[in-house]
Amino acid sequence: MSEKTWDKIIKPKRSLLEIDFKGLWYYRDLLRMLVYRDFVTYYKQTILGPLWFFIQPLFTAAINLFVFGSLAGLGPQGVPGFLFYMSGPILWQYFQDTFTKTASTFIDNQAVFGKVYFPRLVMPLTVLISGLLKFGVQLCLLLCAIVYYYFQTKTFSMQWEIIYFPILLIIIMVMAMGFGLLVSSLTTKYRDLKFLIDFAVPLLKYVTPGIATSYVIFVETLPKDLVFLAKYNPIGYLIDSFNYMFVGAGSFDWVHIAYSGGFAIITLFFGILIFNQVEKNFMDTV
Amino acid sequence: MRKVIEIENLSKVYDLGLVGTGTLSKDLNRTWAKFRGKPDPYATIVELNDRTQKSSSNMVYALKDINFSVNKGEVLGIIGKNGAGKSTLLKILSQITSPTTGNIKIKGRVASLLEVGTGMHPEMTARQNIYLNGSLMGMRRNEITSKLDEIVDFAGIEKYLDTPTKRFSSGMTVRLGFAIAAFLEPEILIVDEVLAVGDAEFQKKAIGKMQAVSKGEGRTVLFVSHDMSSISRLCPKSILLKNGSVEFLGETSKVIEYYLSDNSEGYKTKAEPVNKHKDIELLKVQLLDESNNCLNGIHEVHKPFIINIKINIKTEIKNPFLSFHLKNSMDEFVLFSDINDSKKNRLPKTPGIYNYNVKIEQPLLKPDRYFLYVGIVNKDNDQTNHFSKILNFELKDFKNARSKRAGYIYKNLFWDEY
Repeated sequence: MSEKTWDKIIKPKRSLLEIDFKGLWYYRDLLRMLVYRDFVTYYKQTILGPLWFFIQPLFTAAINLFVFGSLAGLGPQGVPGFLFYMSGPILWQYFQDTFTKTASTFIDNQAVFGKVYFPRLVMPLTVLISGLLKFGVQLCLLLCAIVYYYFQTKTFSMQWEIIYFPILLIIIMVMAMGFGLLVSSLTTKYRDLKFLIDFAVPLLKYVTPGIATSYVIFVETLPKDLVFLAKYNPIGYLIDSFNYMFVGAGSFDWVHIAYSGGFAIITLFFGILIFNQVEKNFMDTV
Repeated sequence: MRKVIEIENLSKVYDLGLVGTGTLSKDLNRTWAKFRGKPDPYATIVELNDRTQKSSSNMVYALKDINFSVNKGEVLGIIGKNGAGKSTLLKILSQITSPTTGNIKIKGRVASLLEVGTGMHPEMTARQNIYLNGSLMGMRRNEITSKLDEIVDFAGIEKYLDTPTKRFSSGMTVRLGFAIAAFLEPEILIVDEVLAVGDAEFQKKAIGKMQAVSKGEGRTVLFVSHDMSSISRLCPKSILLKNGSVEFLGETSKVIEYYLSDNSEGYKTKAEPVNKHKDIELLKVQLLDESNNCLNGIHEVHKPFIINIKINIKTEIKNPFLSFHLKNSMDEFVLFSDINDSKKNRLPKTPGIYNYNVKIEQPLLKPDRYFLYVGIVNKDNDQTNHFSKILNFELKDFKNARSKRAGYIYKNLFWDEY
């Protein structure tokens, strides 16, 4: 009897690095079903259905072009403004959706978390992948627009650095999830953060290079004291590089990418650590 | 016997405090105290969880020093009042929250039916929901595919397999949820109050499935319910929780008996009124079982019981009159009886103490709550002595699910087929 092998021991405390990756792998089918659920039910009972995936970026681009391009005169030189104002916001939107939805993981899923156990990290991963599908669809739209402008203007806006796009995408995924996990763990107790996130993240968009205008113009326009906003913003470099790759308006610099990448990895590391500590007892505080 | 669950010194403390503006400063204080190696300044008093007393501390034990183990293939019932810690125990077992101290060792996969239908999406079809719900409970995709037919058949929803579940009735949803969990085949199944929903036919099916799961397949089931009849049918052994501790562990019938007797507040099965100035004084009224023990307050409907009345006649009375009647929970008259029912008692009485036993053969009265009224009259001078609702008790059917038939009389009749 003494040499018994137990499958699981439920203990009060969990050590810092005890992360159940094995369990996470076991639940991969759940991840798949949840992504499928998100996709199938997202536009249920709407007339236009998945068409909304396209309407949103097109209108955003048009409005941005009007406000930033025409009114403020911040549009980039030598590239179609419409393309520029479409590409930046698409990537930003993916970041914002992933960040805010991950940040409310515990609050949104209280009901399910309170009844069944599964590795809680499945939920943020679902958000990450579901968002990726939407992002992919919108990226196709961007490519269509690029082709359309090629026939119109006979200039091809894509740069060869586009081969590094996967690296860029991974960095932005890691960063969005990292920030989201950090905030989600704290929101279980301090709901104040949710309110902060809800209004601060959309505002952050306007001080991020690559949305209103490219990094170079952005730095020139900013008052000297505020230049740090652009220089230390880890998301800005990513969006600016993305714009450069697809639209040809922006910059690509490995130092910037490395800065953003390092930032993302550190954020995700601490995000997972804290999430892992919070997940086992959050039902008591949420 | 091989143990599959072993619980050692398990305790769980809850902080009842509200999260508000003070939370941050409290948290900082705690961290500072921890940093200096001092104990948590807000955990000075931790109280037992007793609902009847107002708590003076914010920290409360939902569970305190729980120790027990469960063997493979055992069906263990868990009973206790609301707030006794049943749900907390199940939540720790199913890893929804973690214990404060102590640990639980588990062998095999645990699946809980804390509330069926969790995580189903109303917009998705039944088929999609089976896959979603199944994988939520830890089933692999191919496992679900291989059991899909059985699940659908058990839930009885063949026709609606491709209908969104938002078009389902609540009963159908529950059946579907239970069916998925029943075919999950975990080594340990936790069931909490699910049988309350669904029609009689489905309840029977569900109980049958649970029995098959434990007996045939050697799986372990933990069953929590307030329904004593299903507990006693399903579980040979039970555990009684009270204020977060294990109060009683043993054979189910004994545990239920203990629970009911401990829990018979509000019932009254014995009274000794003070009425000394009357000619006929009522000394005692009580309800007895066949072996002359006072009833607990809740009585099995199939066992007879005795109404015992003890009076003291102080003067010579030619025409004494004794009666009692029973009213049910709806305040309806159910049964009346007086001393003249038996001819030999219709005689003048000399002073002295008299004892009467009236046996009520059961089953006769249906399961319900009953109130006893006693009336005593000295017909010589019409001095009356009435006792309203002097006793009250409940009849309950622990075995039969058909305890809610209409009418006042509870008796199986013989249907002669020819």
